[in-house]
Amino acid sequence: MAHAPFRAEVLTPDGALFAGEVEQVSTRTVAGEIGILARHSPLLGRLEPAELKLTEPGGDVTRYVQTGGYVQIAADGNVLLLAEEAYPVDEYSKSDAQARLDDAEERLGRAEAGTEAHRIATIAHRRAKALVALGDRL
Amino acid sequence: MAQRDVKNRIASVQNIGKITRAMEMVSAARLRKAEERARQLRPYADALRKMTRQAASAAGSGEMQALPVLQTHDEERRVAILLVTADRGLAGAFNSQILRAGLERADEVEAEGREVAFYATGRRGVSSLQFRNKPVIESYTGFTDAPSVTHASRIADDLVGAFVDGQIDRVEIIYNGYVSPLVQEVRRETLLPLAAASVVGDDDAADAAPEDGGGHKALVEYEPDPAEILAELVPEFVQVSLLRALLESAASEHGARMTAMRSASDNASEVIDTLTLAMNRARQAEITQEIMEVVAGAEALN
Repeated sequence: MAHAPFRAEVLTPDGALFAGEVEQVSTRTVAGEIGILARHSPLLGRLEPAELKLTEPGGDVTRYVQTGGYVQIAADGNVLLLAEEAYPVDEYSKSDAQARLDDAEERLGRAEAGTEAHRIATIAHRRAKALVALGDRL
Repeated sequence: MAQRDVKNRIASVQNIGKITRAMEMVSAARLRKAEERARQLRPYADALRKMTRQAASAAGSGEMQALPVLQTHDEERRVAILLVTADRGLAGAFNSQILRAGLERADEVEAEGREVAFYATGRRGVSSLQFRNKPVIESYTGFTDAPSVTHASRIADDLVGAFVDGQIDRVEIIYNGYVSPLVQEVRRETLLPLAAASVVGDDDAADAAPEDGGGHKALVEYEPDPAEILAELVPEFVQVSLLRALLESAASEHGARMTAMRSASDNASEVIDTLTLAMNRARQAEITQEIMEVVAGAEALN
């Protein structure tokens, strides 16, 4: 069944990745998987490394990988995704993700427990791990 | 100089000219790319600012003020100076002017009785500091001509961690700001503590344009709650400022190299002109010499 379209935009530090009408946005925030349809209630959420699926009117699905960021649903139902990094799903590289995880592990090992550096490294490590795990679900 | 020697020198200068001209063209292409990327960052930063404003107003003003990255440390004992240089040279004064500004600033800081902690990006900066026996706390190399958000976030994580943990009390960044392809200017900015104004923008703009959903504060869902999301959003500005500086520096690097290579190419043509003149003179001298000999020989027969 076709859903009402709404506007969605995916912005990265390298520019706009997508801007246009969609029927559905599926992604993941810290609270879990989220599917956004038209007139979703306003939201501001932190994104987790996950697959980002945009369903365009007509049923075409564009799939991206996001490494993190934020999602904002405005009062009018328009969706803005600010992704730290996002790229088409076929550009995902398991070895890259693994290299990041190794790097994050090494940094976590160097950080002293209880410090802010350790807290930051822990978050980076958790995200790097999620990005590696994502590879098996694509 | 004999004709043959001059000919060889002309050929080698011509080769150098070809290389510098090629490098000039490569730099020009990369410059356009880096410039474009620096421009693309702006909408992202603006959107981040809007979201932060929304989260800040939902969390309450106290939450924002209490964030550790916004705190000025009571006693500034250790100042971190991040020098943004390039991995490669051949770019005129690009690297040396950053180094000079960094060392001058370090002297100032030390004269005030504070300690300096150097951080550096780019092999040139790192090796110059080491050569001068200045210890480098962290160095980041291998990406200066095309920095990405991953690099910026790594540096930001280190700096924010060290700042919040009290190992450093202030972070200054010195980089080549991009003015135009021909003009770079050395800029010094304070990265930490973050100025609240740089995070939420000036107050007038915030009041004049209430954010989407801002008027229906109670209806907006937050995942996680506003205070937590704010605590994640605000340090992003360190990352964005860093990325902007890295990208501007990359554009400046290509601009500086383009200019340096252009004047090298111009010099090469000038040298070729001089050498050609010298060669013609040598050839003419040889001819004159031969004529003189022929004439002298003929006169001797008479």
